[in-house]
Amino acid sequence: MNSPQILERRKLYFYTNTKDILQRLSILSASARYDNSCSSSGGKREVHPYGIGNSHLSGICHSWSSDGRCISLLKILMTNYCLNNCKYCINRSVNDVPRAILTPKEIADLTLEFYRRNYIEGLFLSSGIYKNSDYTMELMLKAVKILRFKYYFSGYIHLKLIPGASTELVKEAFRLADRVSSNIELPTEESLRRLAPEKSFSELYKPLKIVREIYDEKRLKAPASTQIIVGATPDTDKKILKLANSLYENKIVRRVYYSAYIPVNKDSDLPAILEPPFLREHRLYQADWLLRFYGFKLDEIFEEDENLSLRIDPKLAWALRHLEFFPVEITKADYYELVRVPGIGPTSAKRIIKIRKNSEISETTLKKLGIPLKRAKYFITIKGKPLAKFSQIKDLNQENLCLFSEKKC
Amino acid sequence: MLTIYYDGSFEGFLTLLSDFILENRPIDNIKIHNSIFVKSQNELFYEEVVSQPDKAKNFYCYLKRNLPREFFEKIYIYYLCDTASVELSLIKVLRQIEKNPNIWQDFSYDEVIKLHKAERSFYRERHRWFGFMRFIELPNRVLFAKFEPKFNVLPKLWTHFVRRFPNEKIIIFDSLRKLLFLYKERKKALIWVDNFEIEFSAHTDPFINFWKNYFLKIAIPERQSYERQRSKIPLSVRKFLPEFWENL
Repeated sequence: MNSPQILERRKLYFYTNTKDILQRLSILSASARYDNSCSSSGGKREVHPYGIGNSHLSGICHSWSSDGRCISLLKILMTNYCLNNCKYCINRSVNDVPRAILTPKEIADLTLEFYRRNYIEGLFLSSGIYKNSDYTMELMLKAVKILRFKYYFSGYIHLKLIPGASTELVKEAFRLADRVSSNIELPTEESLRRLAPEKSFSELYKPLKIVREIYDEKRLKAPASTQIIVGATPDTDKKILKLANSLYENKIVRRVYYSAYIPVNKDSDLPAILEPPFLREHRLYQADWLLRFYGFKLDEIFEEDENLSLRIDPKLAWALRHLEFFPVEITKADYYELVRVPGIGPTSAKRIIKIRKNSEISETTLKKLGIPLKRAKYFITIKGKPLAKFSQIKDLNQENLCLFSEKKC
Repeated sequence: MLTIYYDGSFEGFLTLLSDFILENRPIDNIKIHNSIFVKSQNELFYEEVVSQPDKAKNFYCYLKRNLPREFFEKIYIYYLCDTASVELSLIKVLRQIEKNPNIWQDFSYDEVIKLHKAERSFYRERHRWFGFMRFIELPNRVLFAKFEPKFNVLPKLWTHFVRRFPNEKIIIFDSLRKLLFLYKERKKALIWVDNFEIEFSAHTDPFINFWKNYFLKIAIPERQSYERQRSKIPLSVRKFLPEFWENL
């Protein structure tokens, strides 16, 4: 319970130690920023009568940082001291960077105070490996226990599972948090051996498997996530998505995050790149969405090449390879036919199905309802009539992309 | 052209609807304004609808009896979409509903699309303020937030914060509409006020500085894109967000 005395004492502590805490917070938030996950959706907790906080099912973004990414959680490392020497990581043990540690109480208090002011939806807590995996995991759990049992905090908590932590600790983390994650980092054992010699596939998988086993709702995907770095090794997009797909099919994770490799260290095993592969990361997310929400199979996305095209998105690429599937008749097509049309996603497809029950569909109605037809018009008919000119439809192919280009060709 | 003003209250809104639906006033060549946003310019032809609580109550009961439940519940939302100017569209749809009870779902009718769009924008705006609302802790541990939403979202917003912070003292002020929400120990009040000012010093709250610092450090420099940030956080709301305040 947050009694007035506790609140005053906490405020005084942070007020008198502002400079020191600011410095540590800077180091630990800068160290945590390369983790892409910041989602706060899926939580189902209700507020405790004496406590604070609840979850909002769809998640809430509270701000957007200068890189345009949503800030929904207080994403910090407990410490950036780390025993591991992963070559791609800014916190690798051999790096000469400022190191810091926040105590469990400081983390809990910061989270609570940020939450009271509506800065965040909850906490994302990760850590470098300090002393050993179990010790680190215990420290992290201590922070979460203060939040859950001392402050009766029911806001969202995402906990990183430390590879090598014991089964009991993983189980406890899963019980206390709304979401847990363990980053697989690289798609193959061989890549891991080269860039993260202390890690192994089995060790990174283990916490996710434990979570899968203890999750009661066996038919649903476990509330866990993982992250794969893209572009640090020569692995192809197909290899990366094959791994992601198997994680989804076995219901081990709900979400795979892809993180474009950003060179923060120098090492002969790391690729020399001019620019991080942000576009490739974007294409992988698009393909991931096709697998999860659009009913696409992995083989449909990779019919010709092992890598996704950077010029066009994977759905448009599939549509241009399969012109025999089109045109789709908007007034009759079912949901899965509609979402195969470039430019029509699940939201638009559901809206079309809803409105055609009660009203007549025309091009104007669709436009007025905000359903984008810029791409879709080449692939659909409304009551048998095509929306684009016959000559344009005839010219559709993978080489002629002028129709879909932002600029004039 | 006749311009009609109503006072911006729900009673005023219902009185206005009642005039047009039950008393069948003509709707050709008229404009309707909410006087909170558009003050009367003393036009040649203008009229002010005076709120009549009894008339409003009767009309409310009339709507409850005659409208499909789903549509009836939307009427309050259309009222809250105060800057969307949907009053005339709503009158046009309500006039036809007797003949065609499903007209409110017929998207081939332009007025229905207009209402539907306003409703969607309203919920979008509300969701945005779930995230953008920023509380400042006043010395007596009261959490105070001031904001200026596009629509009158406060009546549909406060439940979120009360559910989330049941043991806090909360003041939320919509400074555009002068609507004030107060909450303490499970008692609440939503009131219209003439003005409301609170003096506070951001220096006394160390967490504002921590938050500003966190906000700067969490951005990946290699991904910097102010354009994307601007598309998500309009400049108009930034004055309410401490992360964009000048250095304290």
